[in-house]
Order: sequence, then structure tokens, then C-alpha cells
Amino acid sequence: MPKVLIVDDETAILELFRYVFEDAGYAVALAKNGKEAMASVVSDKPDFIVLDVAMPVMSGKEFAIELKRRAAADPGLRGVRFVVMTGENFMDAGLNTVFSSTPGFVCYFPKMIPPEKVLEKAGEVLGQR
Amino acid sequence: MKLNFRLSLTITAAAAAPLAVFALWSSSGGAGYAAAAAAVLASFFSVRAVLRGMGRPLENMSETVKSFRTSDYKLASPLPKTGWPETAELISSLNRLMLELSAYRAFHLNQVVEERAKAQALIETISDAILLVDDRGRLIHSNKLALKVLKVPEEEQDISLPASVGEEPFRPVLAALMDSSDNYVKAEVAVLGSGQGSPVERDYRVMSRQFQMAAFKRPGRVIVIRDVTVEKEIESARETFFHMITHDMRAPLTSIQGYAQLLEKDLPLSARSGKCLHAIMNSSVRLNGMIEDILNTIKLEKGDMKLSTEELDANALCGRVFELYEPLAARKNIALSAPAAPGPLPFKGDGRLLERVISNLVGNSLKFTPSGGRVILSCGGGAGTVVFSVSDTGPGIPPDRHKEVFDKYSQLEEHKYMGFGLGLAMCKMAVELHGGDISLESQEGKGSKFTFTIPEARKDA
Repeated sequence: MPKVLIVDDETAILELFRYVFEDAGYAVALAKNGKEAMASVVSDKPDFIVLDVAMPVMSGKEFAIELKRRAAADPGLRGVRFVVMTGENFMDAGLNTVFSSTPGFVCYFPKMIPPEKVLEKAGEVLGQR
Repeated sequence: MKLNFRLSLTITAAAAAPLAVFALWSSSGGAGYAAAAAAVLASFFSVRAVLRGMGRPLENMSETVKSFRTSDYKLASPLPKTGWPETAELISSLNRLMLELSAYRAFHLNQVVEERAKAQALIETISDAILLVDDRGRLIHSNKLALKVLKVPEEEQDISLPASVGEEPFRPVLAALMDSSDNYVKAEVAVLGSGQGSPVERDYRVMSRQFQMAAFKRPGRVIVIRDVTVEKEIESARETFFHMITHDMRAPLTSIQGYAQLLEKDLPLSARSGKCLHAIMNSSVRLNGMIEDILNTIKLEKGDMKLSTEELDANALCGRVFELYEPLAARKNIALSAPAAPGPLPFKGDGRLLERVISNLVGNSLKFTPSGGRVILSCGGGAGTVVFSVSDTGPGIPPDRHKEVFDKYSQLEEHKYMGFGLGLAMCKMAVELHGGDISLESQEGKGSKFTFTIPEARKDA
């Protein structure tokens, strides 16, 4: 069963994605900020991450920087694929450079895109392997 | 279909069970009892099946939806997918709907709160007072500074302009602004504030633009109130400075001009010294002209200018300016011409001021026209007006700058530091004071043509 980690500070969004992914047969883990997400990445080794950007404690951007740093030392982390789902302007150069240079980055989704689109992308990405 | 089939099967089974039992046991006398028992059993199982497959899940759904709506659209936990397959599918869809509703709601509420916070942070940070009002003057939104500047009482709940404004001088301006149907309105307000000790006057500029409020389908207004006290002080200091400097420059200039004229009369001059003396006199006339322009601009702006109207002839006026600038044009290798209009063109106006207007236009053309070019000064009449025009073969002026060249201190970027930038502003004010109009036709790369008209006889003259 492929493992998915959903990262968002909004519980309602986490619950919606959990429902959709569980329904599609994924094992789902949830995280409310980048720090929780990093802990989950290390312990659960998810196959796919849906990442929000603006979050307290540790933002999606900081999470990506941290992931890149750790993946340099731990090749196991390089297999994690992730999509970024954000209400912010992802064409913003500062954001774009960070994410697009992080190993495992797949694409951006504008918030709130129907969860099926993200599910579809997850299937596509994980099916390729 | 499946659901209906299942339902009909259950009901038919319940109804048919006693019949079947009755048929099987008809030979024996206990058939009636057995059929009754079978009927009870069959209906018991049928009811149980319908309840499990539909009834209980439906009750559950109804309760969950009710509590979802009353608990601010938060779903405690998704409903378990129980019952017949169709029921389970319905539960799943309902779960999805509720989860989506709460996720989208949370997301959009966050967005709205965040956008508001951004807008508020912006308008609180800038140093202008800003208000948004609807078409009846009711306040929709403002920054704190606006309420302070307008002295709107803090406890006021339903703020509307100008009724809630405590700062008296703003009231008539805001009332006029709310009545105006113009898209853009600008006004100035002077407020006598109570500083420490002596009262201080503060000047405000009120600017307002209409905007369409989607929610009300009516035009509202954005009002910006800017403290221009310092701006005005600087402007006034600049005027005083110009006034002083020009005044002080005039005295030595007058003596240069006077003594040069005296020399011309008294001394036997050689060809060379005569030329030198002529250059001195010519330059001092031009310098005098510039000083006059500054003084005229200040007077015209303040509304202090009094025209000394006299009988004039357009041809003679053009001739005088032509003579003044001919030597300069020759030095720059520019063909300056002033073809005389047929017949006399009499009109009434301030000769000295109009001479400065034409001098400025010709001087500008000579300044910007490259060597080998042409500058034509012409005049004509008709329909009760006299028309003057100065055209050149210079670089021209971009269309988007045609209006602002007549503004004070407005200069094209590439012409920075080439004069005060007062000339055309002065020309416009002087022509308008005569009751005339000034305009510009120009194409980039093809030269410019300035034209102004003066009524032959001013109504009030």
C-alpha cells in the first residue's frame, strides 16, 4: 500500500485529503507543519507528499530546504516525490527556485484544486516507478 | 434498480413466506400456526434487513448532517460506510461533500482574512489619510489616520461624510465632493490646528476617485487626504527665493544696459567694437527677459498679474521678437523667418507680456532645433481673434507629453538642466489671462508647432 503524507496547517483540508486518499487505497499520514512533516518523512518514509507552503513553525519552503539538505546525506530520502499545493503565487521566483531545485519535486497545484487532480498525479507518479 | 430490486425482494419474501409454508403443510392441521410463525419470522428478518441496509444509515446521515450544520461546518469524523452498496456509496458521497465544504470554507475564510490584513497593513502604513465611502457618503473602510485628520469622534458607530466630520473646514469640501458626479475630484483645505502655543495652519489636498462597488452596484468613492503643508512651505520659499534673486539681479542688469547704450551713443566705434557692444546689449535684453519670465510666472500663479492693455499690431510684435532672435539664429545656423501677414492686425493686449510669450516660443524652438533647421514665426487673423504660431524642424515632442509641457518645471528627461522649465507654463497662463488658448501640434522627429490665439478685443478690456 503506497504511503502518502499530507502537510497543511488547516485541519479541514487535511481531513478532506485523508478521506480521498484512503478511499483510493493509500495509507495516509498527516502533518500540520514542516517540522511534523520532516519527522514523518524520517519515520514513515512516505512515497508521496502533498505540501502546503504557508504554515506556522516550519513553512513548506523551509521544509523543502531541509529535505534537500538531508537528502544530500541520506540517499533514501531522494525517493520521496512531492507536489506543492499553495494559495500563494508559485510563479514567485523565490519559491520556484527552492522547490524546483529540491529532489523529488513534481509540480505545483493552486489551492483549492479538487483533490482528485492531486490523487491522479499521485497515481501517475507512483505508477511510473 | 438494484436497490429497488432488493427492496421488492425483501417485501415479497415477507409476504410470500406464509403462503409457501401454508402450501407445504396444507395436508396437516397445523398449517395455519406454521404459516403465522413463518410470517412473523419473515417480517422480522425483512425489517432487520431494510433497517440495516437503509434505515439506520439514513438516520445516521440525517443526524450527522444536522450536527455538521450546527457545529460550524466541522465534521467530527466521517460516517462509517454501512448498509447496502448504494447506501454505502451515498454515505461516501455525503462524507466527501461535507469534507469539501469544510475544507473550502476554511481555505476561503483564511484567504479573506489574509487579504484584509494585507490591505489594512498597507493603508495603515502610508502617510496619507484614506477613506472608502459609498455613494451616500457612508464610510465603508478607512485608516486610523483618516478618522484622526477629519476628527471623527471615536465612539461614532455609523460614520458618514460629511455629517460625522468634526474638523469644520473639511465639511464643505467633502459635501461638494459627495455631490459631484465627476470621476476625479481634487480640492485643497487649510485647517487651523492647535499646535503647542500658537495655532499652526496645516494644508491638506483632498483627492477622490470613483470606484464601482460590486456589492451595491453603485459607484463609491476613494478619498485620499494628503498633508501638503511642507510642500506648500517649500513652494512658497522657492517663490520668495526667486523673487529676491531676480530683484537683486535686475539692478546691475539695468546699469549694464544703460551704460552700453550710453557707450553706443558717445563713442566712435570700430566695426569690431560695435559688434561686441551689440552682443552685450542683446544678451542683456535676453537676460532681462528671463528675469521678467520668473516674476511674471510668480504673479500669474498668485493671480496678482494685472494686464496693461494697449493697442497692438501683431505684425509689429512678431517683428520685434524676430529682430531680437535673428542674431542668435544666425549663430546657430538656423533659418529664422517671420513672414508678415498682409495688412495690419490690430488687437488689444499686454505688449510686454505677449512679447515674452512669443520670445519664449521662439527661444525654445531655437534651443532644440539642430543646426541647418528652420523656425517660422507667423501671425494671422480672422473671426475676432489673432493667431500666432511658431513652428520648427526640431526633434518634436512625444504625444503623451503634449499636455504636461505646459506644467511648471516640466521638462523632457533629455532636456534636463536646459533652462528653468518655467517658459511654457508662463506662456499658457499669460495667454489664458488674455482670454486666449495655446496648443501644440507635434510629431516626434518632425518638429513642433505651438499656436496661440488672442481675442481682438477683450470683453472686459
